[in-house]
Amino acid sequence: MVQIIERKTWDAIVIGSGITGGWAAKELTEKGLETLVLEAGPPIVPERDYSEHTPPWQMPYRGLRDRKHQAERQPIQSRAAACDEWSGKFFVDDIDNPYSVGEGGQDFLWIRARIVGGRSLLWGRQSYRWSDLDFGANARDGYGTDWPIRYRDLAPWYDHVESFVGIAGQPENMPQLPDGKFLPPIAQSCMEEKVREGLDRAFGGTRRFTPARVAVLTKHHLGRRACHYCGICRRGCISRSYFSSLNATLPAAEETGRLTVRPNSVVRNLVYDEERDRVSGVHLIDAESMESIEVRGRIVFLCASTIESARILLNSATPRFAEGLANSSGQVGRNLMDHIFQVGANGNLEGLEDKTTFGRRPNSCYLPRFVNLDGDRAEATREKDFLRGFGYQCGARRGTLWQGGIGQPGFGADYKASLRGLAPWRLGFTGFGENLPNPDNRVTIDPDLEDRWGIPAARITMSYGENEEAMREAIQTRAAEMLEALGAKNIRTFNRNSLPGFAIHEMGTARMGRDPATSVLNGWCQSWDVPNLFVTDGAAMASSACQNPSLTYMALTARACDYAVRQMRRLEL
Amino acid sequence: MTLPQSDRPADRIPRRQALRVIGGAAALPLLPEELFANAHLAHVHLHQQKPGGEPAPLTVLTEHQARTLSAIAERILPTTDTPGAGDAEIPGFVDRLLAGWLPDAARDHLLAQLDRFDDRCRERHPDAAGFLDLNESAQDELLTEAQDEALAERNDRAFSRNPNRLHEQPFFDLVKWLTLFGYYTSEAGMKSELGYRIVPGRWDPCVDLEDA
Repeated sequence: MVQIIERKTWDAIVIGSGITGGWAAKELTEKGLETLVLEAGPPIVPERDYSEHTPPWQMPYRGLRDRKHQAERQPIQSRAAACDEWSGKFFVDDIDNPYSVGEGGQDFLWIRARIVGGRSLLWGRQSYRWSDLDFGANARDGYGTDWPIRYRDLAPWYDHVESFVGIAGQPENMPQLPDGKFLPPIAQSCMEEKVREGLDRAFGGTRRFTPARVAVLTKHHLGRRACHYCGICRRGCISRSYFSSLNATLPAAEETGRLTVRPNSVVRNLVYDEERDRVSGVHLIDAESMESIEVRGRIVFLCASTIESARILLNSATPRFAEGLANSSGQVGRNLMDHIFQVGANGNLEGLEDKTTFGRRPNSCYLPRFVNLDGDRAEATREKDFLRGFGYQCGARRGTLWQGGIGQPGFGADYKASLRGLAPWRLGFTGFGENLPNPDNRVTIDPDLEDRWGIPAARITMSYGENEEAMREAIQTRAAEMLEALGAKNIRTFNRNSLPGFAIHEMGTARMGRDPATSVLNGWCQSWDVPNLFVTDGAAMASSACQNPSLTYMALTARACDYAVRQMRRLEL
Repeated sequence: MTLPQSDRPADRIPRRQALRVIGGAAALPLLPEELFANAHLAHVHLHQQKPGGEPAPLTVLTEHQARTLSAIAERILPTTDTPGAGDAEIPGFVDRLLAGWLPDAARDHLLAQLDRFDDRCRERHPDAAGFLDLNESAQDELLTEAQDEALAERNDRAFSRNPNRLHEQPFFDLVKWLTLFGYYTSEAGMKSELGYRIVPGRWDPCVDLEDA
């Protein structure tokens, strides 16, 4: 099947160049390993491909998107807001990259970027530490299996990645959302300052309205420039002010002289050496030539993203691992999670009619979890209808009036003048809620479906359950009660019942654990079954918490790299 | 450390080529602040340049239709202390929508209704060659009539910008939407009317409305 076997043996092969693959590349090369990064998609050239400064009037459809192309080739990807006329090219072609949805599951939206840098070019950049409220959650209520680590294990690695990434954030001294090594925060608007004071007063400081913590520089940092507030990060950033593999980790890895990135390399499966009981390499398809190639490495870091990593393991079955490589537990592909979102409330705030903001900031605000807390706050914050919790991404802003202009009768000079100016301040809360691990929510291989490169496709079977439903209700109620406490007018709750996958926070398909019988990875993201295989993307997560997960993926990756290199030095891999 | 050397001549990706593969990353090394400022400004400059002098030739609209549309747009959002929609390259934008974006039914509807509207202008003013030929008050009179018809036709339904519903929208509403969207996404509209700056350069969390 393999046409070409490359003779070189790399110290490390990293599969994927997104947020975790970039970190693995940086850490492993800086620790001396000759590292090959395999990326399924094409290279990105910032000067050519970034478009954050291309205004609407230079786009063919002024931002209305290439509708016919998207309907034909990106019917799934185009449901993501970021897949717009500028950034649509960064997302996959749905026809070349098919997947199916299993019987009994909801529709699943698998939003993907196969490019050098992966989804790190497109991410929301919000970066929060998890706490022992999260790492202890499975042990506390019995859903899923216990995390093999606690906050103290990860804290130094959060420090490590934050110091390099550059996170703008404000310390709040809240146990459920530990503070980090922050750059100066992006200041809240004058209306948001009033909201913060109002909520502190109304809820005794338990609902803290803080500037969203984001991986965007508020000052020059390690050769990357401070944000210039053009506001549309997902189109790229020529000043490298937001963190992505392409803006930060890959250039750092490249500086070591030990990095090789191989784009257009679609991984088919891992190659397992039965005699040595190790992964010996990776079988890939060259996306352009369609050649089938095997590359060899001493260790493999699987950072292909949650569903893709599961797919690769399941497509790597061998006589010993008939159900998929590293899958003696049967847990590979299971416990797929995402966050519930597109649910919350908003309302108008009076006052400060003569004030607005200048510049387009790359964040808004965040309101950390305040339900089902632990320790001495457990009793007072316990919810009877659901387990675990949610936080809100939120903010107060003023829209432009012209956008409602089609609903206003008239035309002419007076009409034009009536559209000048800004709408009243509107405060919105969008909840992000934790999703319980459930072994029936899973990725398998569809025996009847292949991608453009002949690789068996994923079948995704996932539904949200009663806990998530109950949480959606609470997310709306609690947001509305905050708006009422602030005296907001025209309060509206909303619940668009976001489909699984749509928060693009998918995780859990190769969970870490304490027991090889019930988990895929140990506490170092190392396969229990195959010691030179590490999985450090979202697949490793044993629960989903409610915070944006990327910062935790990064910390876990850096920690796993440190462990792997120490083991190699002891010749234990 | 004691890792084996892994550079061998038989490698299929020579390092030279591999370096190029990261492309931009290699071309844009980490820089001290001042140098970066220059690279950044060059990029901003590049992306603010107009792609070429002359606007692209029309592919669907006739010259007469294009000028008529532009004249209607100018009456909907006229030149005041800021440019009007007549300066917003509305015909070019609409032509691209007609060529590659609108569903067939909506395209046929818009073109037919535009001609019908112009026919009516000639019926009312037999001496004129169409809407273009009328003075402003005559133009406004015909547009008011079209607006009243649209109101009756919609019968309290809101305008829908769903592409698959556009062919059901009354002519005046359709042209008004194209004018609004086209104007407020044009260079003239965004810069002059909305005060839009591609690179604001700073974030100020509280400014007076009149300074914004």
